[in-house]
Amino acid sequence: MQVRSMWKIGKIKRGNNFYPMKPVSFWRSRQATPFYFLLPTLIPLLLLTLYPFLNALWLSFTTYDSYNKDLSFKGLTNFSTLLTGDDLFWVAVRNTVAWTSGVMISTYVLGLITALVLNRPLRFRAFFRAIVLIPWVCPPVVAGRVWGWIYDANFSPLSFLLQQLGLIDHKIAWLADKNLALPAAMGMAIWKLFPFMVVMLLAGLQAVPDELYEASGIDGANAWQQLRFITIPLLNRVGIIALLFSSAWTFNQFDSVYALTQGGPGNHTMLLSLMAYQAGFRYFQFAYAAAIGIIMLIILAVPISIYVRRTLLSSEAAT
Amino acid sequence: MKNSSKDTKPLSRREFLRRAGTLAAAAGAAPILTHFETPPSARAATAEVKKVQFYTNAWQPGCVAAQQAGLDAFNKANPDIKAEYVQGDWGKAQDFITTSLAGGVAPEIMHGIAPWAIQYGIQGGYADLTALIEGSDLKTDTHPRALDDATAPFDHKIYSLPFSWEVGVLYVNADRFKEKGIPIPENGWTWDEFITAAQKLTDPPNYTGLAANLSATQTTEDLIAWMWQTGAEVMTEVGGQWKIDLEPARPALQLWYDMLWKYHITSEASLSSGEADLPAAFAVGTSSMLQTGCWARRVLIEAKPKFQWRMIALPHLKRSAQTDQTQTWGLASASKERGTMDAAWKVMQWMANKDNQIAGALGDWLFPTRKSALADPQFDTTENDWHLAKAEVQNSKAYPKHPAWPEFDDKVLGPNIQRFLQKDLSLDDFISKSTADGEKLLAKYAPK
Amino acid sequence: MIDHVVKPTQSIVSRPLINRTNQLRLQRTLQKLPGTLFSYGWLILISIFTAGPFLWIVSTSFKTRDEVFTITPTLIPNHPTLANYQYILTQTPALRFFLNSVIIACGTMLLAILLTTLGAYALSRFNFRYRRSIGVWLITGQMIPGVVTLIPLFVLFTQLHLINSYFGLIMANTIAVLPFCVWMLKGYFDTVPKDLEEAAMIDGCSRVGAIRRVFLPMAAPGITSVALFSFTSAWQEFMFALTMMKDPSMYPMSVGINFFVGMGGTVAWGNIMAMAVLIIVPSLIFFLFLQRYLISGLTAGAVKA
Repeated sequence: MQVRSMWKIGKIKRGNNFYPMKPVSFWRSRQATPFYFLLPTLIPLLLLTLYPFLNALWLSFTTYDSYNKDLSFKGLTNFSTLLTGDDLFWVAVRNTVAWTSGVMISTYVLGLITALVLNRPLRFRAFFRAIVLIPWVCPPVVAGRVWGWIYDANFSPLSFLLQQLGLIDHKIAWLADKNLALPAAMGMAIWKLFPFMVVMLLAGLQAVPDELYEASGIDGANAWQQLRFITIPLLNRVGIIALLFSSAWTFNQFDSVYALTQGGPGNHTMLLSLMAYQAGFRYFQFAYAAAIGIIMLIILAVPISIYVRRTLLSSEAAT
Repeated sequence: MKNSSKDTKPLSRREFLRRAGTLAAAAGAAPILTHFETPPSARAATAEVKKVQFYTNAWQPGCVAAQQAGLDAFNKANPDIKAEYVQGDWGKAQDFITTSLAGGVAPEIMHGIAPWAIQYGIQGGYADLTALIEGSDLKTDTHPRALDDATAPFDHKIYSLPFSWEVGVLYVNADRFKEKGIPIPENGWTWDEFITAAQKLTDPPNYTGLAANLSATQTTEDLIAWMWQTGAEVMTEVGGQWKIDLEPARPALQLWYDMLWKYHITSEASLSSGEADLPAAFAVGTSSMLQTGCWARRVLIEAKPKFQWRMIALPHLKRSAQTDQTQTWGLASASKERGTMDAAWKVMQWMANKDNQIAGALGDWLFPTRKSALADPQFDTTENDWHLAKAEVQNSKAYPKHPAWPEFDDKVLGPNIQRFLQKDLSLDDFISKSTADGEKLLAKYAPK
Repeated sequence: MIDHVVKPTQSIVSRPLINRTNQLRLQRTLQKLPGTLFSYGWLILISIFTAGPFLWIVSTSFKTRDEVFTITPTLIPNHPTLANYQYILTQTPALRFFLNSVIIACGTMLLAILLTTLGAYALSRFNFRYRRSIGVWLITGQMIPGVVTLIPLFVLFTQLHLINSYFGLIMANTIAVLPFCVWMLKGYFDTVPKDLEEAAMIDGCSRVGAIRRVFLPMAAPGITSVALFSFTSAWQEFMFALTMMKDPSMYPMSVGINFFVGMGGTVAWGNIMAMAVLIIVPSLIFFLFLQRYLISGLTAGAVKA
């Protein structure tokens, strides 16, 4: 019945009889209402995301740089260079995957435990909830600077604290050590993302109805079983959304990491986003940078689309 | 009844659509109503006053004051031109210039170092100043090497006007030198003398002998001076052909490797210490010596270290060499359409005249590029060792000018040096890989 | 409860020390003790982790230069000083930056509320063909790396004359937060039953009227959470602000702080941290005010998202 055509022909019921409706153009029909609602949102959104995306897509198939402003189609040259001729690319891919999965897993686990704890009736709960939110309101610029200071080779308060506690015996140059640089940067990212995860998971926890816990308690389930079979599955709905968005944000993160390490000792903290930035803004190879961006999109899109297909399909069926 | 509501509804549906339409129209009209920027065309349209934006990265208070005073004086003397001081900063300058040029909203005068200006010039963003410079006293009065630094490699055009440069130096803890019985080498010293002295001056973990900036994307800034001193040119033009020249630099790299692992004169912290923290760390005594530019004296003075410090030249091997980091002003080629090019050139000439160069250089703790300005006695004072640095001006060199240099530096040379120093790469591999990758880059960026 | 009355025939010595109810209470508390101990312990650790850097920022903002660059750092400054705050408030355009941040963040918040509510309402209430694809495009938009889109966006904005304008930056910030906010708000709207609006429309309300009178009051928590999220995101946004604002008098604080930071060799840590406190504290207060709406707004949305 929802025939979407230029002229909507249908039947209108008056009394007991059916009379043909006057044909109206789509845009004046009832079916256009959702689009009018969406127009103010969609137009700027499409303009400001579609245009740069198509621009980047086109650029990635050229060999444009600021020296030879050549916008002609060159096929897959950039991509083949990236995949076969550039060692740094694979280093960056490895680092970025480690970075994203490390940050996401740590944030999820820490966030889950914290959300579970904050969900219990404790004293000073509101106070702790407030403290947990602090990293969320701290701008990445500031976070990069503060953590740069915390990890400073000479003046680090963290080194000082660990020395006082007797855990280390000399100052550590966190960002100079090839094994510590990436974990250090991840620590900063976990700190920043943590409140978001806690809030999302807390909201999800509060949506789990208490009756389920009571019923399972009566049936003899202990706390661990309740966690495994009730909490986590029901939490996964919001957990997936939170993971989806935050993994996209983490994967594409650039500002704070660049401010902290600039790619790190011997490229140990070189992420794909940093590589794209340097290719474009340092070497003026904008087509190459666009190609890196497109590959980043592809790498990100594959797991996300699998998730989206599974959850969207299942929740669409539920709705 | 649903039907009756539908019959009386058509007006309200249309009403709704009308309202939604107005909303969308308002949303679309808002940008035009609320934008605050005057389009570039309007800026130059008034024949009365030409506005010239002077984008500068000056940050030391003396230099900021000098530049602002210079612009004020110019505005007073030239009522038909309004020179506007726009503050930038070295950290974001390149991004700012790149995006401004891409969007066509670049300021008329842009401050940077000579290699950047050459790149922007070749790309067409900066105007060719060769004729303008030759038509003024800047051609004869500017130190020839400074002009050469600003000259592009292939078309030999000058795309920016140099006005100041620095000398790479070594700051030393004079008290500690005295303590260990080492005389301050005011007349220069060799690498061997340096290593012998440094070994006595290092006492990890309390303090190290030498601190330098070897952090990512800045790795070669300090290290390249040592490579030059071995006679290697790193990236140079030989008979019209550009090539990578790293083989002679072996001693330099081996020296730093030994300083790190054998003599413990420097620590791994150098691989992450940015330029920002080094003077402050030196001032609290974490190292006996610090390699950086002569601009850092003011920072040291402000830090009020509890010891006497001196500024001396780097040790030399086959020759003396350090980086000169020539600072230049570029003229946006877009200013021609805007009609502000002549006005901007006037501003540049004024700011680059002898007195302004002297004031700016003194305020920045650097040296001017005009020969007449360099002759000023204020640059010969012994207080804060101006005289020692000035003696090294003749030995300073500029980074390679080839467009391939940024990518070679950040992507090949820098990371390879770091990996070599962290024992991930052998010296032979370092030289062969860097040379091979460098040659590829030279081919990639060769002018077509 | 009768059993807590002491039987008068019991003597003092034979009366149990604690009665049955309290004994049960004590038992239950002891059972929960490991859990409670762990909870408090964990919360304290996490608090140190999250608040530590912030405490460091605050503490450094009260330090003189000598105390900042010292080998033995202290949490509480030995010679606290207000000089840093004095400097940034009187000698720098920090207040101007603050005002700009307020304008931009509030503008983003209002525009985001408007667009998100409309969009999420449409996605939630209407069943039309492109519903799924719009949802997918929203997520895809988030996945495009910012560094790559920066220059095309900048050029686009230049052509639209949106550079150096509050509206341009507000627009860019809103687009950045739109996908996540629409997604969550749609989920929240899904939990608000349709019947009430439909009843209102049957009773003669237009759809817009129904929304205004019936729907919005119920949707308030969700909308508040969108307001909070968009405000905070806009308050901290840096990359777009840096690129779009060319006139220093229009910089928001996140860009203004860079001026203390990127200054060549020396970093005026005291000043930067004072500025950082100025950036963080107002946003934190605003956040704390509305945070319970954030959680309740997301709660309902969580189930149906």
